Amino acid sequence: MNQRSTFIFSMLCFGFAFLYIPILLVIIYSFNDSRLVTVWGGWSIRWYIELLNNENILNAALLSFRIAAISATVATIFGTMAGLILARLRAFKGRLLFTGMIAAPLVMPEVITGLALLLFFVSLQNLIGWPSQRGMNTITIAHITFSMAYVAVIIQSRLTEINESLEEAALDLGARPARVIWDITLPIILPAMVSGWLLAFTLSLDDLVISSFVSGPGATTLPMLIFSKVRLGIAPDINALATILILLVTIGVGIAGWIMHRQKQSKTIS
Amino acid sequence: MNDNEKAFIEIRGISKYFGDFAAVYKVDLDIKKGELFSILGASGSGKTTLLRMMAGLEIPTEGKIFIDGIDMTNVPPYRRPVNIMFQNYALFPHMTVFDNIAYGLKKEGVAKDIIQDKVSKMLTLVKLSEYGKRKPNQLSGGESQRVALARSLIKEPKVLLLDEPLAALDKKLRQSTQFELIDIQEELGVTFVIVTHDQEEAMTLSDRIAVMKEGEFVQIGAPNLIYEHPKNKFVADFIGNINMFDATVIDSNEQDVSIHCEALGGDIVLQKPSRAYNIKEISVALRPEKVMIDKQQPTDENIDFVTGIVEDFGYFGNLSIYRVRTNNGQIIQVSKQNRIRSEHTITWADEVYLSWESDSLILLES
Repeated sequence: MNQRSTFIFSMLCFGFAFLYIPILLVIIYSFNDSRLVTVWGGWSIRWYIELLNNENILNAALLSFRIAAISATVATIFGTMAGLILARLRAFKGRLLFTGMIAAPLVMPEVITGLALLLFFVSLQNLIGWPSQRGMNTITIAHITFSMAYVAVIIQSRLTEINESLEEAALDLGARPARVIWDITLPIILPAMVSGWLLAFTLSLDDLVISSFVSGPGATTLPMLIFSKVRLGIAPDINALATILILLVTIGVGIAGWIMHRQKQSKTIS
Repeated sequence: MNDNEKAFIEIRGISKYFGDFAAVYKVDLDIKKGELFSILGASGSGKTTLLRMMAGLEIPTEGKIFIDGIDMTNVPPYRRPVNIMFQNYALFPHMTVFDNIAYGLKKEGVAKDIIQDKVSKMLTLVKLSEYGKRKPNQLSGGESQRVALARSLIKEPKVLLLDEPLAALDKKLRQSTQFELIDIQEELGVTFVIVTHDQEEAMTLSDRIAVMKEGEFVQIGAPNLIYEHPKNKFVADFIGNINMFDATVIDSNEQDVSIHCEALGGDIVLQKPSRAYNIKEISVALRPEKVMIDKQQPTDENIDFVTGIVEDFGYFGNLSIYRVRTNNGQIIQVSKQNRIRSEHTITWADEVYLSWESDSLILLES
């Protein structure tokens, strides 16, 4: 190894250490027997057991996963439709406006999105009496609105990579436009849709700010619960919860990576 | 007029604007049934746009397209008796070769066993009978091209449109595929319309060629007509190599034209011109292969010649190309078949005589 590559290698180690040592610490301390977070008291899984017995945390986790699954699915459907329009309809009136409005939620500060959505739900309630109560429904709708923008961008960028003549060939062979989307476009962008879904799922699972704005009594998502618990001081069971979340995310990313790897491999065979 | 002579595809005053830019401008064209017709042009000449309008992938701004007597101008692509083969082949990556070829029949609602039968026959026709289960990414360029051809022929279209069908193949493969295409066309009797920028491809494939420039046709005719009788300087220059010189018309009538051309050694009389020339300034063109090069002075007294010195010389195996600087400073390009083995007597700095038959000279206006 020459000097240059030694330097690059050590920089890489520093970078990874900076990123992953804190996470590693959380995992290690989740097995800490001590009641004090910062003091090591030997190995134990007591906080995991405590976690399983804590109904609040389990309910919050269940609620978060339900919201994430529903909002990711709906966002993928709408986002794909928006992405198709952005990538395939070249000229229509207001295209620029449409593009801007799709991209806006990506750069809008979360606080503003949250506030705006809250105002929207409140005035909607005053006008038509729905939603009568803020809670899981409003959080789900709020998550759909911002995560579909991410999905739309992913789908659009994938579609611009795909030669339009594939769809034209299908048209030419007698498939109607709607049929072409079903037969050709969707199967080809399916991996992008899967990664869009995963992204939307993670964004929803992760969101604290917008959820806090549009939530109501009785609807506490996992990030909201963790945040409120942490404000009272860090309890060791949070470490256990964090470790479980890290595990789940790792599995999710692993699966997504595996899908993409397989796709790439089947592409390079010739 | 019998049925074969009647135009099968009639294009009447068709234009396509993209914003203010006219990609195709007021084009008229008649293509006969069973013809192998090429549209030849540089990139950006509007040839692909014209082809896409025939396929229905582009709606003309003005004008009409008739196919087999039926107005097809606004008919969507999925209802046209026309199929197109794309330049990049556009094979569906998620389907097998078999499913790719069968796609058109499936959309027609053809029964499964008939599809099986037809696709197998088509695979045999394009010599890929063992390839049905493969995916497009497991095919070579030539194989992909044949799958694309099979897919676009499976519905037995009245017209097959081919967008640069051979551009993605290497040279050797291109030549063999050219003849395969012609064979298949003859076997099926489908009208082929080919778009290409490659003049060699157009020459070998087609019954007729239309040369396109800036959205308009410059000349339409059989390959030999376009090569030997180009209508103007653009066509002469675009198709093959050519020497072009300035000249002035001295006298012109129905029988002959007298011109003065400094580069070709002075006054020249051309017999039986196609027409009389009443303008003075004119160009004279001469194909490199029609110039004879020799170290000896031509013995025939009636033949015109100039002398010069070989300035550059390229050996291509089957032929050699010489760039000769004549005594009055003009460069003339000459190509010579290497008919006799080990005869490369003419080389750099040799003094040579260049001569030509007077009917090899092409007079071009503008």
